[in-house]
Amino acid sequence: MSQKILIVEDNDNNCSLFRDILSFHGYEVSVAHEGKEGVALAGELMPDLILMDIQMPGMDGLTACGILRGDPATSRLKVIALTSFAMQGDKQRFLAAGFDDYVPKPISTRELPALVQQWLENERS
Amino acid sequence: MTRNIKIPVLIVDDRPENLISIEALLNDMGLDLVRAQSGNEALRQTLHKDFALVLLDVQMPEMDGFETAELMRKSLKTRQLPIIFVTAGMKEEYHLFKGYEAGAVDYLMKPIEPVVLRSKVKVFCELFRQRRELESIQAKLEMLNVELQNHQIDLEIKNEKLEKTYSELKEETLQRLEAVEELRKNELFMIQQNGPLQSAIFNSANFSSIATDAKGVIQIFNVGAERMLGYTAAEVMDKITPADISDPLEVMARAKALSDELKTPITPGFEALAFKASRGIEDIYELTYIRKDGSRFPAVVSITALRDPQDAIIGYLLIGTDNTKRKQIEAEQIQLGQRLRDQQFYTRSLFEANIDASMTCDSSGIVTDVNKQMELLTGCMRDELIGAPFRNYFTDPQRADAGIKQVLSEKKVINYELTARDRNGRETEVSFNATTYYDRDRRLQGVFAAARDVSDRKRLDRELREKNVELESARVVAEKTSLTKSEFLANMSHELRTPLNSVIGFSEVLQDQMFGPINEKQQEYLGNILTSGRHLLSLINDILDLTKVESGKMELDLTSFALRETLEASLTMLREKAIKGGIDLRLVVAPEAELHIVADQRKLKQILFNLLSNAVKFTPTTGTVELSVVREGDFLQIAVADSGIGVRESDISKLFQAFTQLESVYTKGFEGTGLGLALTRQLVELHGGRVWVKSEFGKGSRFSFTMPLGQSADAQLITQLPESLPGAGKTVLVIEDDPRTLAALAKVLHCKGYRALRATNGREGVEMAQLNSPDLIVLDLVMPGMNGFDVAEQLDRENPAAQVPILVLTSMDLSPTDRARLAGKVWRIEGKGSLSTHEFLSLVESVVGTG
Repeated sequence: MSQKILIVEDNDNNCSLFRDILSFHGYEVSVAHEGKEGVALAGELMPDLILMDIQMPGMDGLTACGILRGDPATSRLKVIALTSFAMQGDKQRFLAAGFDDYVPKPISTRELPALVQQWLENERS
Repeated sequence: MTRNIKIPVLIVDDRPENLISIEALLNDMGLDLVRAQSGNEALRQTLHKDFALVLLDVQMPEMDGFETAELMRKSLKTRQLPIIFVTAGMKEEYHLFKGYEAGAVDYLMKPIEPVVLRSKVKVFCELFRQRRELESIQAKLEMLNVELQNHQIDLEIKNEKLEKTYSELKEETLQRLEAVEELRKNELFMIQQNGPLQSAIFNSANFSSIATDAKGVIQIFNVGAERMLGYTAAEVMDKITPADISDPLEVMARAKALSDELKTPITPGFEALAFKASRGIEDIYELTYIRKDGSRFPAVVSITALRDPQDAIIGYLLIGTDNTKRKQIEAEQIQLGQRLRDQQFYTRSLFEANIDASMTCDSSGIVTDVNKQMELLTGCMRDELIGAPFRNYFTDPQRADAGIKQVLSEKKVINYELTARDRNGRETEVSFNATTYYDRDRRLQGVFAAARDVSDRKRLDRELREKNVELESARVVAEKTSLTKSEFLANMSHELRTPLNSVIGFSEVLQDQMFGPINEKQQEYLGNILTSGRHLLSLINDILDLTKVESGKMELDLTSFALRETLEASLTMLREKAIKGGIDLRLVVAPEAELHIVADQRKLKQILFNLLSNAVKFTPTTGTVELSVVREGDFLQIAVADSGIGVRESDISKLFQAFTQLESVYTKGFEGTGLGLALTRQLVELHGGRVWVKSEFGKGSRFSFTMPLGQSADAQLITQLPESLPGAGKTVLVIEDDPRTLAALAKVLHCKGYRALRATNGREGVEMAQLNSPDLIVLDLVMPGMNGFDVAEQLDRENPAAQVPILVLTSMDLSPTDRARLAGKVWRIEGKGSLSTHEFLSLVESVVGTG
């Protein structure tokens, strides 16, 4: 059975890109375009991995992640932060907010599959 | 008195109705009306009272009016009693005359005319009254007379007594005077006769006893007199008078004064001195005695007349004391007085001169003294202030009082602030220093306080505080702005990078043929798109980084890591390119640089990558690029040296500026953002290091930067622009065996921007000199093994062409021979102890030169 990945990202192009690549690599990919939708979908699908954009209109990634963590049903889901920022202290911030890891954008499309595999293999810390 | 008494009138009539009618007529006259109904009764009544008048009825049974009247006339008591007969009618004239004979004074006919009756009664009553008065006066006169007589007798007795007393007194006085005279005579006699006493007195040396005859010629001159005046008794006895040994002017003045007083001329001379004494008046005076040697002294003399038993003056006795001491004391006192006044004046002036408002007050806070400044401060006059409570002149009287209490308990109070208010309401802020002060017996006198006007200071304080408040709000604003900047940067990052996600991402996917094959042309085009996209991303990243650093938003992610790994990793990144370009890529790490460093690893990589990629870029085929690390005290110095095209002197300053890639000058088509070096500089300086370049056009370049080994919180190292430091781009080699000295020199040089290389012995020094071609060598002389002299000689021998100036720093005392050895090989010789750091740096700079 293929593993489920949820992508929460407001930018259509990015969504298409990630979905195409990951689908190509055999994952079952779902997409949400903003935080609230993402949280709902996560609860519904219980994916093996969630790639969460940070900068989104409405509910941002940090908040969404916080909600997921706060809900016992979804607290054990793996969530990776995608961010355009590479500001210092962000890593700590993301990890503190409950993300399992973060990756700066632009994400190398060539590296993405490998990263995803790695994240799926890693036990939740 | 007699008027008030009711005058008694006797009414006699045998018929009661007549009595009643008469009474009625006389009722309102205030009379004492007495009735009698018969002659006998009437007579009886007269025995009891003195009546003014009798109204006598004639016709009465038994005894008629005439008979009654006759009887009345007979009695002494009633002889003069006025009788008015009241009759109904006269039978004959006979009766009338009888009536008169009987002594009546008048008749009243019945029926009685009221007016007539009343007027007649009135007359007699008046008469009676007057008579009574007269009698009373007479009685009084008689009494007075008696009294007078008695007085007279008294006086006579008293007079007699007085006369007696007076004569007795007179007698007594005379007796007394006689007794006194007797006593005096006895005294004089006694004195004259009393040998030992006389002797003692006369031989006293402390005062002069001079006895003269009646004319004043000295007869006795005692030891004291001899001592005081310098004459022997023999010299003066029977020769001169005391006037001759006195100040003549004084004697004359005395004579004159006496003359004026007594209105009789007194001759200047002994007479003047003895005048009063001769009159029996005890005399003491001050005069100036003149000694035999002509010197003078003030004396106090008492002079008395000596009398014989018969009371004649036989001479005079003058007893004198030397008053010099007293006079001296007096003079001193005057002087002291003057000095005291001067002192007081001085003290007062000081008090007044005090620029601060000063005052004293007693322990209950009542002002006892003030100076001028205090008057000005309070706007009150001295008189108003003294005696008034201190607290009255301040806006906070309780605080003023508390201040006084504090001084009294703590003996001293400093910087006690109060606000004074003058009578116009003008307020001045002052700061008080106060102490308690005491008299000689250490009794508390009160409080002394001086007030300094601190209005200016307070004003400045207030201004300062206001400024601080302003600054604080400015800071808050700045922070806000800063936050805005952060948000802006964050947004910018996101917005700029997001489209590139698509550009690069989709291109890659296509290129990887994930969704189907592509032909060559498509590959080519995709390649172009990717290249441009990546370039753009690179630019954006650099700009954002630069912006971050410049707006102070860049933070260092400090970790401790092994340097070597990072260096090797950087080289690895460029190895491919280097190989492609046929460039030899080398790593040289000095042993002491095998260290862990505390830095931002990613940024260090950025720096290294930038410098290395530049080096590789600008080095032609078969060139070399060398990455080297040495340790410089607390720093590591990393250098990327290439044998590339180099940079012109004039362009060096532009290198680290953003966007001035010099490719347009040197070669075309170099990729690069032109931001690399600018960013590199910022990142290096953010760590507290410096970056600089040494280059020779056409030969190569050497880009060096320093990184502190460990970042400490307070080690905020220089962020001065490397170009502005005097040592920028210059290398100084220090050859010194003493590690402390070596470290100190290196540090000093490093601080000024020099690259300071170290050698701890001569041999190493020579090697490093050859390897590094420093701009200056600082050379110690006394070193084990190869010493400084040897080093100088060797360097001179080996490469005379590359004459590196040598500054010898030694603690040795050099002999001429020593100096000769060094001459021509070294630039300058200085003593270690004699150079200050400043001087040392000046020397270095002077020989190394700038730019």
